[in-house]
Amino acid sequence: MAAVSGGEPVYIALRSGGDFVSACAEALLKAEPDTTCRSKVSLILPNLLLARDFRMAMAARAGGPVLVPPMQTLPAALAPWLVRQAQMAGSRRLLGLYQALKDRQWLDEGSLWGICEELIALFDELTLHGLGLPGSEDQFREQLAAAYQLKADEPLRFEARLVHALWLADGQGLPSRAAARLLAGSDWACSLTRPLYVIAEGAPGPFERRLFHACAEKVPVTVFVPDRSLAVDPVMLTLNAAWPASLDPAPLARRLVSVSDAVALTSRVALMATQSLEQQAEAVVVCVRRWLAAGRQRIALVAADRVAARRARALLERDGVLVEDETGWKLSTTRAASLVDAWLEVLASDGYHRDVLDLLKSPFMGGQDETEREAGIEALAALYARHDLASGLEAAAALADASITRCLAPVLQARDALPRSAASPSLWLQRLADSLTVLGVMPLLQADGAGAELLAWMETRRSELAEERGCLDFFEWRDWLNRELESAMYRPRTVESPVVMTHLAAARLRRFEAAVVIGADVDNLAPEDKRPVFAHEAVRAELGLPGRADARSRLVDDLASLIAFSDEVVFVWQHLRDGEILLPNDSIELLSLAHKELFNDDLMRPAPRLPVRPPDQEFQDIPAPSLTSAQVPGRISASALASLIGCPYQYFARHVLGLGESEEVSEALEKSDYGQMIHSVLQAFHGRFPRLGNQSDEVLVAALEEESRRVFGPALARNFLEHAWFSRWMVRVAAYIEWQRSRESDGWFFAAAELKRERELILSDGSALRLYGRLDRLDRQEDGRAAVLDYKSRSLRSLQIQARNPDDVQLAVYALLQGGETAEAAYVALDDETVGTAPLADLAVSAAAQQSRLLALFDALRGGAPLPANGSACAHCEMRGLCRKDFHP
Amino acid sequence: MTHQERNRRALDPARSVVVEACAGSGKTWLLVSRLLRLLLAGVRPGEILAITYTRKAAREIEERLRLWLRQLAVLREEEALDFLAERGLSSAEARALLPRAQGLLEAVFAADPPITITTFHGWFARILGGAPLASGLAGYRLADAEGPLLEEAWARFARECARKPEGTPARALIRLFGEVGQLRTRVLLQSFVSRRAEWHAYLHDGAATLEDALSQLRRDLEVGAPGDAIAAFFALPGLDEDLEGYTSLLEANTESDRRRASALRAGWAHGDGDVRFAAIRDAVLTKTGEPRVCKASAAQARRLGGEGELRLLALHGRLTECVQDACANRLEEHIFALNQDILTAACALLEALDAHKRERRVMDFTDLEWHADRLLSDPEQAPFLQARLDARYRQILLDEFQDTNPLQWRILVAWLDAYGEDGTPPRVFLVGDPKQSIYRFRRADYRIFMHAAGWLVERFGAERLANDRTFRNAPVVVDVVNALFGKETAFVGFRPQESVRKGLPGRVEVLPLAGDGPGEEAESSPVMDGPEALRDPLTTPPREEDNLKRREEARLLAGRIGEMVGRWAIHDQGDVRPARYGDILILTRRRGILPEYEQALRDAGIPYLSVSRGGLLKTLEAADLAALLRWLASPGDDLSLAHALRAPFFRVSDEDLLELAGRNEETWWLRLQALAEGEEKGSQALNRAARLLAGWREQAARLPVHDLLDRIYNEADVVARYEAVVPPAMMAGVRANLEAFIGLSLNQDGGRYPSLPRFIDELARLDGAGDEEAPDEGVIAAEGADGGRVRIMTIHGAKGLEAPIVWLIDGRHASARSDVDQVLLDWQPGESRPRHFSMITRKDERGRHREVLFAAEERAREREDLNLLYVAITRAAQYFFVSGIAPGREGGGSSPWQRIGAALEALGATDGSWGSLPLVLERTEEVMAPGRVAPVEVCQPVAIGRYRQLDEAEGEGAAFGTAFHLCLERLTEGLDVDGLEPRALEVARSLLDRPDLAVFFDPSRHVWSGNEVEFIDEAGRVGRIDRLVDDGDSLWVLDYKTGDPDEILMDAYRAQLGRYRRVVSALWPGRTVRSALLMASGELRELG
Ligand code: SF4
Repeated sequence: MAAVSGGEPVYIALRSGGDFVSACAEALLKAEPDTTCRSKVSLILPNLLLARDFRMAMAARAGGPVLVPPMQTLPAALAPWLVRQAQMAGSRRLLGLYQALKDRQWLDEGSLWGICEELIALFDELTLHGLGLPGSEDQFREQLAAAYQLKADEPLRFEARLVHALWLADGQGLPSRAAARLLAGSDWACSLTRPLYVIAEGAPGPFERRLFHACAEKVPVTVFVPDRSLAVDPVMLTLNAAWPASLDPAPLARRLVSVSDAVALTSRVALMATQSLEQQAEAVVVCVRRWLAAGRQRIALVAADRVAARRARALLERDGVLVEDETGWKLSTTRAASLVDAWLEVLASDGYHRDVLDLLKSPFMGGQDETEREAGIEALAALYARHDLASGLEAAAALADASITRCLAPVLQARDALPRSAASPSLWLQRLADSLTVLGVMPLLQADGAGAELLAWMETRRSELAEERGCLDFFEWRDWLNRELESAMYRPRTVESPVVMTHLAAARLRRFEAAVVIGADVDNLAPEDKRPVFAHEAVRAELGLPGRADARSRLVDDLASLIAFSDEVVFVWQHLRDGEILLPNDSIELLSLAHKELFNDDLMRPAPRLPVRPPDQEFQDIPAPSLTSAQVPGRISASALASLIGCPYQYFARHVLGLGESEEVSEALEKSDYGQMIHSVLQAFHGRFPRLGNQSDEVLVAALEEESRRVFGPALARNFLEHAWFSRWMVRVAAYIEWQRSRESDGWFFAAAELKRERELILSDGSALRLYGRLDRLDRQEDGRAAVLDYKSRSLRSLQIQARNPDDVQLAVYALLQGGETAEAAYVALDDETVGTAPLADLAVSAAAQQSRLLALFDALRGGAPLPANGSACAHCEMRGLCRKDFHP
Repeated sequence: MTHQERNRRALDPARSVVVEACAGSGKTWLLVSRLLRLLLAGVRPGEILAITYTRKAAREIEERLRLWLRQLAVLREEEALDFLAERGLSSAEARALLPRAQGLLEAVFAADPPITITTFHGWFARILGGAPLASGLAGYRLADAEGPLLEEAWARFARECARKPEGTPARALIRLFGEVGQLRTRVLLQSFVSRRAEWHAYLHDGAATLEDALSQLRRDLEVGAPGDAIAAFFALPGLDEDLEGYTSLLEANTESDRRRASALRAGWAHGDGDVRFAAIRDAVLTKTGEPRVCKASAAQARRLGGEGELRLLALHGRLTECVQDACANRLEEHIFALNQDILTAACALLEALDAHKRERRVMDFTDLEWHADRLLSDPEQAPFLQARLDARYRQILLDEFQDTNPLQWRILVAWLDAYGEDGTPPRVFLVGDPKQSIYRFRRADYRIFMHAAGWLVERFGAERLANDRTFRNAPVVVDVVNALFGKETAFVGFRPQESVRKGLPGRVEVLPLAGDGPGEEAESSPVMDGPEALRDPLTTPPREEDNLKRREEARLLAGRIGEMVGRWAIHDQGDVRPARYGDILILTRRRGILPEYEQALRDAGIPYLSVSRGGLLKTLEAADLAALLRWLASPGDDLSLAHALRAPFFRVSDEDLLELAGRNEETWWLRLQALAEGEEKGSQALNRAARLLAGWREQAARLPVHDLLDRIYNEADVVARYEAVVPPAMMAGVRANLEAFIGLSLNQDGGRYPSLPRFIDELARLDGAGDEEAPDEGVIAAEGADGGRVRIMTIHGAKGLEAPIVWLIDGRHASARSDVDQVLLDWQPGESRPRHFSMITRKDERGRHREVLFAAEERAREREDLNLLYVAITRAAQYFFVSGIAPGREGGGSSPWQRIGAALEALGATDGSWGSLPLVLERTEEVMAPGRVAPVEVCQPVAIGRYRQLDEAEGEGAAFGTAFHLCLERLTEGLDVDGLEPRALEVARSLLDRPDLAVFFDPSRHVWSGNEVEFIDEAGRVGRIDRLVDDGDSLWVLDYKTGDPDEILMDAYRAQLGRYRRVVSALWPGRTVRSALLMASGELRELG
């Protein structure tokens, strides 16, 4: 049966099934009975991982030692020929098309990369199929119109023109990689000297067919093709009943009736619908544990759902089960790429503080003592917060101390190494590399697997594109870079394990002791659907390209072979995602149905979960720490007292533990900033006009406005929207003056603002408690009586209610701080149409009562009374994580 | 019409049909049956487009269809015939179609293009996905979130204003800030932006401009230039005389009238028109704008004389009327000015938003809609679009049509129009229930249903069918529905319903309001009367007034649930069984109030599942992890560290925290480390935390966040430790949330450019984002055999669901207040664009020209309130409860509680309930607590695999060896050696040139030779012979070596070549086999 050279390739269909590889071995032994000859032929395998199976099969067939032919994959065989082909690097080709499209100015720029990528995919597909577009645009348009069954209207004309023009542009210059592969293929074919055997993983595609044809001119070519319609293996027969290999099959019910020799897959296939990502991952882990415990080792995790597969892998690693990843990572998902992105983001945002911190915290930023660097970063974060500096590298640098400067200096220098004027792509890459060097990240990047890969990738692109002259601006280039990093893959080879993570397609013909398909649902386990520009089936047919039906049957073949080649396969998917049902893949559903009909078992199994170690219930009680007298603070402010009264635990956390929220950059004014600014305005205003006296309203309003502009100015300059706060105050200015006048006519005159006051109280054990606070404003009557006032940007009504609340201590504390002369303590409401005051009623009595409560409280605390967490304003309390209120039983 | 007849017509593939179907009547069944019938009738799957309201619903339809097709594929003949007969086929038809029915499942699977079951948005996305290149839409992607886009737009808008502070938009914005404040300005502008599609339609699809819209508004409000209203007032003929007369009469009248007169004279003299007008206004109107009382009286007649009094009354009346009229006109001027500012600023904001989105090439859901609209309304593009999408639908099915908005309807009409005259028009099947239209806030308009129905009748000869029979609700529930809604005049189109489930017992109960008892009020003042009343916070928690009543209601709820579960009889598919937790559905209209109810359920140990969207990051467990991550990224953040230390995975005590607080090192982390490493170690918990944290700190910068979290979960035993402290009723939720949090880390931005700081920033952003975007809480796995959980949902969320027991909480809360700071739109169903577009601001800024529109809004709002109530009640199969809290002050409006109460009264109920007391069964324990999933036996882990050493790559010597082998191989085979390592090549060449080795390398000197000859020995081991030569005498096994092997190595080589010799002897029996090492030096060392 050996083929002869100068003829046609011989295609031999062998039954697909678990024994396909050994059938190939047997066929080869038969075709090459002579020992010597067997090492004089070459064998092409779809995947080198099959070599082991093939050798074993040969040995088993031969029944003793045996010589085996050298084996190679087709890409490996072509590789030496391909490198010799002059060809256009993919990256250049993309840029070329981009430029061509951009020059024509038909479309706005943002859409160009996407269109170019789609067109390249289309052109490559055509090339691979040995097809092309018609020579003239008109013909092409007619072809399209026919496929769409449309009159050639304007949108269609445009589309035809665009695609055709780019097709022509793409044909200029060096051949594409796809075209180069064709040429390399014929070179290789010409070079052949030994008979060629090929194990195909499925029906050969157009490229392979033409290639084998060319080979057959030189040497005898035999191609073994798996074909599950020839199956005799009962497993495959069962699968074939569910998944007919033929076109236009009989309905399921009838197929099932006529199937003979079917065998239950009960112990071979299990389907598991899970309800969450975690459950899916856990189900995988439980299966893998079972298999490993049973001594199975060659295990495949087929990652249809990448996210769940990743989760499962992490869980497996907990078990000490390391997974060899054949799928790899997009370069863009690596930490190294994040560094580059963070860096470019710093440039794009002019040193937006979060981006700068993100960059500095990257593990690749080294070159300094670690602790020192960390301290510098913390200091920088604090600096940003202190100055509310949202962005600006220079501004930060100007304020920086030595430790911060050490962090920022390389960033500033690196920025100069990366000018942002338009440049050719290779220059951009050069600039990027230069700037990374200046940043000082190169050594650590080089030492990192993905980092080294990224740098190598950059260098390759740079040299490929060295000739490319078209200019890209910063944003275009970043767009390009992002897309490239999204498509470049990184495959770390750090793990060696018989448990592999792979794709369904990469599992073809491989034998596994067990396999689990993660994400066997309609969304994740879907036929390959390249959706280039012309997804329309009729157009694809018109152009001669294969349709979706091919992809479907490919998928089913793959599933069948996975089951047939493995001892056990579990399909698992997430049945519920975001509250929506996710249906299983069609074929899985069919298999389940068929199996149920044949064997009364739908193969569905409950998805097992990993056990959580049964815990002892031990509720976290409501915390109520108590203090030693030494731990009780010796001083307390008005706001701390409010906290103590509102929730003792909160007081404990804030004022005994001394914890507080770390400051953050506030990118816009907040209400508290606003209050602060009003204070400053009024302080300055009353500094100028302690008494309004006879000054005219115009003068006063103007003065108040002037002070306001001075205080609000910087904020207004920074962000126009801060006018909102400014306007809020400006509409109150007249009312404020009116109110001040009425104060004066009542005999109250402004005396001081922003007064620090402190007062010592004596506790019953004789120790001192210092009460302190800052008064917004003090007014006096001629007779010396004082009023303490507190400005609030709130409505009078709410302040009146507040002033009457016995748990509101602020006014009483101010009165205590100011002492006996105080005749009035009031909030000033600045947020209504008119300004008004909300005074504390029964001032003396209230203040005395608050004082005795305060003393009693501290006596109790010093006596060891616990501080329970029983606040009521928990919604905005930053100590919720400490008191654990949510979990109190 | 009989039920069968109705189904037969509704399912007839040849007809277009409109079905108005009440809750529980089986809409989904009908829709899926129709899908099935279409397929049976030979409609190709690709010709079917079914649109429903949510993706969830779409998936459910798909699932149901699949289920039926599965059944049909394998059903026995009689069963299949019954199945088809139920769906309106005659037995002859059914028999004829049986073979096709059997094959449908696979036909649908294989269909290309496939059947389309989607949402409006999904459909729009497809339309845009197929948009012609010329449309400029290529390369756009759907933004994950609208919030950040809008923020960017504001920033951009602000920059634009700063650049042109005197520009119209900047000035409008500043005026707005002063006029309505910052918050409302934002709200107003954002409401406008969310209605931009309508705005675009209003502007005749972009043909008109803002200026045009403003002139239109001017006409709508009948306003002229600013000040016209007052000018017109002063221009009234005879005004001066009237005023003079009026004033003098006042002067002759009472003391207060005299004062009024003098104020009037003073104002009248003022030069400023506004002041003058104000003086006149104050003279005739009170502060609140009411006419002052001016009545005839004997005393007055005495003062003014009879005629004088008559004159005063007449003048007062006339002036009042004129002033009021002028005030109204001034108000319109004000409204116009306000609208002008809002629309001007909003358009500028919109422009900024559009520019930003263009740059980023993203769009959001609203854009989807209007781009779809734009493409389809273009007669050039539409047919091409349909052709390109290969979407020539012959059958269109529209589900939940009552929730359609005008724009969506407009798009649909455009699509249908694009079929053109020549093509056969598709059949349309439209199903919905105007009574269940509850998405007004998403611009749904239930009236479109009626309009569309009419339109379809007219254009497509559609048949209208109504179905008012429910398969869900018990007769008692239906009684209440009929009694309640039959009376509501706003509930236009209601027809009494009928329950098919005649024997199903049921009950509707209105519970007494919480806090309605006597004596409650007195207690509820938060204000002290005397200072003695000061509370001791150490012993007495503060009173939360608002929550007291709510807590009471919540306790009532929990108590009653406790009574029901395990005892009340539930009719479940023909069985009667005791109620389970999973049978109970608690409904609310507002989510904010839920914590109190959840607390009560927890206190009572009732397992529940609160379906609050967007709540993940608000939970304490998520906050714990976020705090830990924050600290890992910023080790100076003491509060986050303290938070993490208190979390269940560390459980550090307050005493330990005090100890840390008392130390002097700068940060808490340094203190923790010092304590853990110091002489007298810290507590066990502290030491453990210090150890684990140190490890994670090392990894934090390097590991992807997910891997970091996984390590944390694993090393700290996170799930188990939560399980130990969390109340059991909460644990399922906590566990689900812990899982959801780690899921979040996996899904972050598709895993692109990961870093811990970015993840933390993203968490902070998501936490602040609205419900739509903030991550949802984890889904609690449904338990198998146990009683499940009580579900708490919003009415919106419960749409399409049902439960045996439904409880509406917070029922006394009157309906939502009318809209403010919204867009006011008049878009009549069926019209292609709105007639009116302006902004609703404050209640007193409505004006008289828009009164009709406001009245219409009010009606629509009331209608929606009723719709919500209808949806709530009809969720209940058997039992429905409504509870609430007593309103603080006399809370007006009609609340569900009142409405249902009234309906019960109308039915003749006296004790607030209708229906029978539930059958109480023997209490069974199995349903009481949520058990665990039956444990599957899980094996112990077996470790496998190893990490490759990084230096496993071969050394230099080895590299040379490889090159040397390769050179020899290629040279002997006459292959090209370009690019091979030159030194190795040189050495290889020198060997080939050696005469003593020619026997091995010169083909003419030997019979046969092979390179790299691979073999498998008898034990299955693979070996590779560098060169095998048959010199005629013997077979030579050659092994190339580059180094200078020592004795130990030589022994190994001896063994190896011995094995090779054995294999070769076995393969060539009877031949002599010799073996040798061929050194790079050319030396041949024969071995063995
Ligand atoms: S969350 Fe509430 S209970 Fe906890 S500390 Fe804060 S106020 Fe107190």
